[in-house]
Formats: sequence, structure tokens, C-alpha cells
Amino acid sequence: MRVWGIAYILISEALMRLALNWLRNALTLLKASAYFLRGRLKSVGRALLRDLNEDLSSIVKEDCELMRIGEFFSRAGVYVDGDDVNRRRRLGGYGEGST
Amino acid sequence: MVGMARVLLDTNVIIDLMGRGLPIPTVNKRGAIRRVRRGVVMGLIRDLCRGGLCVTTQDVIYEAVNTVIHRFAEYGHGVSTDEVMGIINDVLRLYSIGVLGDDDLSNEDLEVVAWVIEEVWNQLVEGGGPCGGRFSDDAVNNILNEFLGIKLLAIALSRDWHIVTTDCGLACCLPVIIGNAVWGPRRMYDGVGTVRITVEAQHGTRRLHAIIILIAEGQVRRSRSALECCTACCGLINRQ
Repeated sequence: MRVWGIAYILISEALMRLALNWLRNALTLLKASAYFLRGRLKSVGRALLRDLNEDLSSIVKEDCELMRIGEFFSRAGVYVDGDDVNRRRRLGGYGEGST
Repeated sequence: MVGMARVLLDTNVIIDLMGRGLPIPTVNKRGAIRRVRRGVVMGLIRDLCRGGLCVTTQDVIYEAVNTVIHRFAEYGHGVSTDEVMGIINDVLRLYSIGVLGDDDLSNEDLEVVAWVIEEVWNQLVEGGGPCGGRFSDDAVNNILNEFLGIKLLAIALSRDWHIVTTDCGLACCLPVIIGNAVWGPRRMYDGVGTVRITVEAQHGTRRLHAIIILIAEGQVRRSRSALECCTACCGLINRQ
């Protein structure tokens, strides 16, 4: 269940980022349309499509790596975050072996 | 936000980057804040580290490894150092974070490290200054645990770098102890407050300068000065 939870979070965040990229690209396209002729627009469109493909592949690659990290912790049901570090520094934390 | 300065990442930031996507065991306000903060850390680091400007230190890596290993042990699981190092290396690669070893520190850096340790030690032990008496005896006895924060601050001061941290002790109390800490305007980043604290100190003839970006929460976020932040931070510490 945890792995699905992580997958859900990562996929929803990736989709949101993708949607934002689409929106940004669409706005650029609209802006470009005010300045360029029809023929010029085609090349702008191709460039945007190429950028979109690059964005998509980098998001997939990144989320695969994040998924691996998430799985590492979720397999054992371990939760860790930055507060563990801060608490340990103030209170002496885990004792011997601390750096 | 930061220009071309190098950005030094604290252990809590590295650990928060790892924790992205992890379900939080308790669903309450505190859990919600933690989750939002992790998202903010990730977004901020993604922006700041573009162009390979981010670094961390070998000590931070060790602290991160120890933290993860002990956390696994608390949950009754064993994990090897190599396994944890593999995961941390994934994080470093993912966000293009370089690692600074002790061999990379110059004599000037080490002189500042020694000076900051001396200043902090005097204040904590003698109980003077704005933060004097606010740390528990355990914290004073365990000053070595503060060493990592001190070292990060000293490196940043020596090299005019930035630090990103979620540790109020490092961001507020240490700067107040060693020099002049100027509390910048709060900036909202995806709904979570970040504060820039400019630290200036005089060491011999050298004028030292660094900027700390504190990803803040709760009482710390509502503070209007580094001193108030330090007081709030000590309050948080005492409650834990």
C-alpha cells in the first residue's frame, strides 16, 4: 500500500509539473503568435513539442529515481525527516557514534 | 534568489530531500507541516541547485548516514552503511549536489572554524550572551553535536557562501552568538515561510559574511529578529 501511496504522490506531482509546463508553453505560443507569421509559428510549435518531450523524459527519469529512494524507506516502514537531525543536534540524539 | 553564490546544504535538507513521497505516520497539523516543508525544500533546492551551485560537506553525509541508520534501528530494522550511502548518492546526483571534503578546506577556512567554536563554547559554557542559559545542560555537554552546524557556518562565513537549513539553532542562535545577524524579510515559498539571515562577523582583520536561508515553521516563522528566533527555537527545544 505504501508503495502505491508513494507512486500516487510522485505521479500527481509529476502531472502537476507537466501541466504547468504545458501552460507555460501554451502562453509562450500565444505570445509568439502576436509577433510571428504563420510559417514561423510552425517552427515555434515544433520547438515547443521538442521541449515538452525533453521535460517529460526528465520528469520520468527523476521520478524513477525518487521512487527508488521512497521504496528504500517504505519497504521497512521507516519515516525520516530533517527534524530528526535538528533534534539530535540539540539533545545529543543517538549518543555514541554521532558525528 | 541567490545569484551566483555557492549554496551549502545542511543535513536536514538532504534528509528532507530523501523523505519526499514518504507517507507521514501521523496525520495531524504537525504531520501536514512536515509534508509541506518537504515539498518546499525540494522546490527550493531544485531552483537553487540549477547550474551545479550546491555543495554539502563530507560531515553532512556522515550525519545523514548515521541519522538514517539509527532511524532504521528504532523501527527494528538493520540497514548497511553501503545501502544508505547508495541512496544518499542518488539524492546528490538527482539534485546535482557536490561534496566538499576536509582536504578542500583552506587554512583560512580552518582558522574561522576554530574561532567560531571558541566563541560558541565561551557563550554556552559561561552562560553569557543572548542565548546563554537557554540551552539545556545536555546540549552544552553535547556541544560536539553542534559542531557540524558551527563548521557549516564557519565555511560559509569564510567563503561568503549561502547556507540552506531547517535548523533554527544554526540559523538564529549561532549567528547571534558570534556576530551581527540581520533578519531579512520573510518570503513565502509555496505557502511556507523562508527567511534570509545575513551574518556578519569580524575575525582579526577579516570581515566575514554569509547568508543563511532558513526554511522556517511555527514560532520561528513568526519571529521578527534572529534573537526572537533564537528564543523561539530554544522554546521548541525545551518542549521536545
